[in-house]
Amino acid sequence: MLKELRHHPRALALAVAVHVALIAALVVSLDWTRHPAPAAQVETVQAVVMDETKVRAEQERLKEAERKKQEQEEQRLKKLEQEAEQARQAREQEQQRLKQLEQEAEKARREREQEQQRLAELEAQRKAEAERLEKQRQAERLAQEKAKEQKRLADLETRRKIEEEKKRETERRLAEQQLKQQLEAEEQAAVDKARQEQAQSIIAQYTSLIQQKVRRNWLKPASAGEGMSCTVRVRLIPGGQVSDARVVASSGDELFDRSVETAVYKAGPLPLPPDAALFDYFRELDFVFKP
Amino acid sequence: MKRLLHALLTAILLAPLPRAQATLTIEITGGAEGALPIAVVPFGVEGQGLPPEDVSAIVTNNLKRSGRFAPLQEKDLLARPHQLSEVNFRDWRALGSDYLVVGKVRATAAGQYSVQFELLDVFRGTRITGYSIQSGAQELRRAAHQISDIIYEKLTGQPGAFNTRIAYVTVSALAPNQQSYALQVADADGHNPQTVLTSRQPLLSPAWSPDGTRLAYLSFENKRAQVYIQEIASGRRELLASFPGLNGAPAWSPDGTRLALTLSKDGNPEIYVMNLASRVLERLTSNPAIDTEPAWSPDGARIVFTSDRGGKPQLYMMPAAGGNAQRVTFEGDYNARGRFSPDGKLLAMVHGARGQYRIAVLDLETRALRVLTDRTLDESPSFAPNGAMIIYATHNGRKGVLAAVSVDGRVQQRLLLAEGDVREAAWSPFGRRLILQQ
Repeated sequence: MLKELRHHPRALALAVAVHVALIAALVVSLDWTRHPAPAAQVETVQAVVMDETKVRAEQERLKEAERKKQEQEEQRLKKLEQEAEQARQAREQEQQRLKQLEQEAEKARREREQEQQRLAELEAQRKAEAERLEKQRQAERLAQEKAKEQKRLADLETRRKIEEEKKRETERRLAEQQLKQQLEAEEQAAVDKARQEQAQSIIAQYTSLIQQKVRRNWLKPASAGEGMSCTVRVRLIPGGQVSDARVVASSGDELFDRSVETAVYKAGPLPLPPDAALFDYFRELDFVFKP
Repeated sequence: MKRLLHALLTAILLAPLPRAQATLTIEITGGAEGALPIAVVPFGVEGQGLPPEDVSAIVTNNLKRSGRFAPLQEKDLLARPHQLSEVNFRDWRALGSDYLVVGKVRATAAGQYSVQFELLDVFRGTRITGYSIQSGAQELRRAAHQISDIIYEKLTGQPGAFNTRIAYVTVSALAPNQQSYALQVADADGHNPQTVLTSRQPLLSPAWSPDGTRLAYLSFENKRAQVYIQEIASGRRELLASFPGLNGAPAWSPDGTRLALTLSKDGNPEIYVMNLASRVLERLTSNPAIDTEPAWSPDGARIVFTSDRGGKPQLYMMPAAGGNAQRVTFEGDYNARGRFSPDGKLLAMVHGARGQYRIAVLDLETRALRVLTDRTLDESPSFAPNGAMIIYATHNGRKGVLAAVSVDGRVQQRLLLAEGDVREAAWSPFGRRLILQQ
């Protein structure tokens, strides 16, 4: 009820106005009902001029009528009074009710105000609480972030230290290894040198054998002349067979070039050192033919 | 940097031996000079009727006779392919044949043949060349010579001279003090000898016209030396020079319009040039000594001749129109019968020293003289038209024979052209060729 009233202040005002108007009407009507009494007295004065018996009867009847009328009047008045009384009572009741209503409205207003206040307070409280919570959360977050950053920095530092340690270790190991390798390399170089010298001697020996065999197989064409030269690149397979021979620097003379290619093919298989490791030296050979 | 060094060291350590830095280069100098090993597989025969000539045998003989080739003996042939698709090169490599000739002769119609051949490179396993030749039965030898020429040219770089002929004079004794002379023409391999002329008196100095259809020669048939020109195919001949005194040593100009001669009509043997169309003579030399044996340079600009104007016979050179003659030979006490090589760079001659007469060539550029033969009485050199060989007359006992030598002296060959005493040879120009098809 109160809530509705609060929501409809115009209805409330209307209700109050209606009540006030009603009350005012009741008060006015009460004043107004008292005025008709003098008008009845005027009529009675006129009836007194009539015959005696008749007048008496008349009088009697009149008296009776008068009395009856009086009675009626009294009764009517009484009734009016009663009605007035009733109206008064009703009005009083109404006033009472209005007052009560007013009180109730007042009470409702107060309650509403109280409620609003309470709500406002509650809202303020809630806000305060929220703010407090927010602050708290922020503080917590900050704290967390700070902690995290610190941890990160700490981790970084740790890792850096580890890396540094590792690097130092690697460098140390590398240095050691290098030293070792250098020593080994020197040792190896000495061995290699000896081996290589031996290998060179074998290579030279077989180069000469190959040269002789190819020369024996070279049938020089009649067109071969002084100053001519033809280079043929030869690929050998491990048995010494010629797998491919092709002129890389032509003499300009077709017959000469052909004789050179034929010579290397015919000379195959070419003599190769028994040590297969030396084959690499003979895998590809360039022969320069000069008449 | 350290990492790189590390990698480098590792690489060095991992290598079993230092690797060869560059391809080993081996220099080959010298080399043999010899005949090229070649295998000529007997040609297949297809169609009706055996061909009248053994084409592959003719080719084999030609190549062998040239001295530039060493054909594999027929009994050593491992297989008898007739075309490239049938050849297993490995077999022929094992035999050491550098080259292989395969082919077939197919009878296409009565007396008509198609000769196919392929020249193959055994070590490279490739075909060098190959042709098909249409030939009548009478021309199968010519086809075989032409095939020989192609093979020779492909493998030596010089044109072959197998499809040529040789003119020569044979001498046979009819009775004591009575001899018969015959001017003959045969294929360069001695086949198809054909007698051009017979005479009871000496025949000398045959000379081929540049087109190979005629011969000029010297005949004593009328008891004195006279110069004749004779057409070989028809036998028709005409007396060209019958002047008082000596008429001799005819030599054709390269264009075939003139003939150089030795005539002594003016008292002393001199060199003359006769215009064959007009018969007008022009005297080129005028010297109290003997001037004879003229020969034209291939470009027709110069004439070489023999003269004893220096005391002994030597070769001299003069412009073809006559004029100042320069001595060109100085080695030995006898140099005669000069002949230009077809390229004009060499001069062949009979070179006499200390009683030995041999064939020699003079390099006209370097002036170097090279003696090619080693007998005692060699004469009348004549170049093959390819310039590779020189034919000459020599003696086997008391009998005259023909021989040939390569211009580098590497190849010597005897030419068994005919029975009896043979002398005075002249090598023909290149012969007519049959049409080749790829």
